[in-house]
Amino acid sequence: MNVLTTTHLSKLYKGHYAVKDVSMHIEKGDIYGFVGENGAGKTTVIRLITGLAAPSEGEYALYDIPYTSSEIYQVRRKTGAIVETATMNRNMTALENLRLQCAITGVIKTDDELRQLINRVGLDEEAIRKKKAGNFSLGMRQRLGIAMVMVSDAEFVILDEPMNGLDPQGFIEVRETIMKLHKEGVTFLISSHILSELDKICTKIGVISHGELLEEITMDALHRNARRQIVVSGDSPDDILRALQAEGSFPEIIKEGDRVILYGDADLNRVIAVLAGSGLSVRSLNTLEETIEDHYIRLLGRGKIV
Amino acid sequence: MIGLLKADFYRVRKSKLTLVILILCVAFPLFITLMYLGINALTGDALGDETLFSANTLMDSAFSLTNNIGLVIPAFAGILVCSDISNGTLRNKVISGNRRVQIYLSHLIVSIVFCVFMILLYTAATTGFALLFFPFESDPSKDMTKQILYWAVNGVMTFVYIATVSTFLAMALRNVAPTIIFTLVLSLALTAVSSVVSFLDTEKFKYLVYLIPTYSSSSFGLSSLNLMALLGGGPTVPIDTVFLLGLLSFVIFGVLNTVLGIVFFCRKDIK
Repeated sequence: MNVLTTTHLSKLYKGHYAVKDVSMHIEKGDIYGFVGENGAGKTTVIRLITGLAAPSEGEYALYDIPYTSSEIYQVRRKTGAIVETATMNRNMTALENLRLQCAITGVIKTDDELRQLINRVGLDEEAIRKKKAGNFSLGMRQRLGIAMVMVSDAEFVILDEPMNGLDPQGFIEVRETIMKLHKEGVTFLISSHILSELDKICTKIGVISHGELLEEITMDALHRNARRQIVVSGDSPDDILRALQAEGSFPEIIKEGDRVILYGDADLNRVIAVLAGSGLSVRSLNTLEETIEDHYIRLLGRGKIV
Repeated sequence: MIGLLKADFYRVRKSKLTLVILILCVAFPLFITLMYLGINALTGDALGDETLFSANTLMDSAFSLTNNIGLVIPAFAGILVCSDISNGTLRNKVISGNRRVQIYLSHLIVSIVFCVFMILLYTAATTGFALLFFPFESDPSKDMTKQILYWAVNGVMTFVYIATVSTFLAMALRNVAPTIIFTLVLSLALTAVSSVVSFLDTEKFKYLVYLIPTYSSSSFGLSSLNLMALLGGGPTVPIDTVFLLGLLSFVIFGVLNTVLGIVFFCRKDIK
C-alpha cells in the first residue's frame, strides 16, 4: 500500500530550486530514512508533503490521494508530523497540550487515554503532571511531540531531525519509541543527518543533496550490495596508499584522514602481503561492511576516489 | 471547524493574558470612577450643586476605541492569534488536515468573541460603577432607549470590526510586535480621520462619510459633553440612517479585511 508518492516535486524560492525533481516512494510499514546534509532540502520536502508549503512543480499523493484533491484533508488526518522542532504550547502541561491537540485533530479522548499515551511514549505522567512543557528537557519535548502526533492514531508519522539536540539517553528513548510504534503498524519518514541512528532503525533510505534525490534504496538491498571494506591505518597513510596503488590489482582505494580504505573484492591476503613487503608501519587492519554513512559518503563523492 | 474553535478557545482560556485583561476590565473602570469622583469633589465648590461628570460621561468612554481599555483589547486579541503562530501550534493545525480558511475563520471568531466579551465586561463594570456613584442624566431631546441601544450595538460592532483588523494583521504579519503597533496605529488613525472629517464641510458627502469605520460612533454619545454636539456639528442625517450606515461600514470593511486575510493566509507558506 502506497503511503507517500512524490513525482518530480520541486520548490522554487526566489528563483532558486530548494528542491528539484524529487520522486520518492514510501510504502506502509516502512521506516524511511531521509538522509542529507544541512540545507540539502529534507525539511523543504517535508514542509511540502505536510501542506505547510505548496510545490512549485510536480506533485505528491498521500495514500494515493493527490494533494490537489479535496480528499487530501481527510487523508492528512492519518498523518502526523514534527517539522524541525516539536511544536507545543509551552505554558501548558503535557496533558493540556494533548487535550489541545485532540481538539485540533477532532479526536475525542478521555484524560485516562491521554495519560496512557503519555506513558506509551515513555514520559512519566506523574513526574510531569504539573510541569509546563516549557520546562521539559529537549528529549521530553520530542517525546511529547510524538505523543501529540499519535493523538489522532496517526498511521504515517513524519519526524524531521528527531535526534537533534538530544543527549545519548534521549537518542535511545526516541529510537525505542519509534521502534515500539513501528511494531504497532506506524509508517515513518525520518529525516536526519545522524546516519548511525538511521542505520539502526530504517527499512529504506533516500539520499538527498542540493535539493535532488540521489538514490532511494531499501536497507536490505543496501546490505545485500554492501561492499566490504578493508581499512588500513598507519603512520604514513600517503605511503600506504602509494604502495597499494602500485600493486595495481585493487579496484578502488580511498584515503580518508589517516586511514586508507579499499573497496570491492580486494584480496585481504594480497593486501597483507603488499603491506608487509613495503616495510611500512601499519597500526591496524580491519575488514568492515559498508554502513549508511560509508554509502552516503561514497554516493556524494566526498571521499577522494583514486 | 468546531474542533478548531474548541482548541482556540481552550488556548485563550489557558492564556495568562486573558486573566490580565479580565482584571484590567474590572479594575480600570473602578480606577476611572474613583478618579472622576475625585475631580467632581475638587470642582464641587466652584460649580455649586452641579457636578462636572455624570454617569453618562463615564459610559460614553466605555466603547471608545482610543480610550483606556479600548486600545488594549484588540492588541491582546492580536497577541493571542500570534501566539498560535509563534508556538507552532498553527503548523499542527495545517498538518492535521484542517483547511486554512477554517483556521483563519476560527481565529477570527475567537478574536471577535474575545474582544466583544472583554468590552462588554468593561462596559458593564463602567456602567455599574458609574450608576453607583453618579446620576444618569436623561436627555429630553433624545429617545434615550433608542440612543442607548444604538450606543451599545454600535460599540459592540466597533470591536467586532477591530477584531477583524487585528486578526488580519496577526495572520498577515505573524509577529507580535508589528501586529500590536499596526493595530494601535490603525485604531488611532481611524479615530483621527473621523475627528478631522467631522470638522469639514461634508454636506455633499453627508451619507458617504458615515461609511468611514467608527465615524458614526460619535453620533451615539449619551453625554451632553459630546464634543461634536457642543461644537454645533454632528449629523444632519437622521439617527436611524446614521446607525444603519455605521453598521454597513463595519460589515463592508470587516468582510473586506476577512477576505483579504484569508486570501493572504491561504497563499503564503507557513514557516
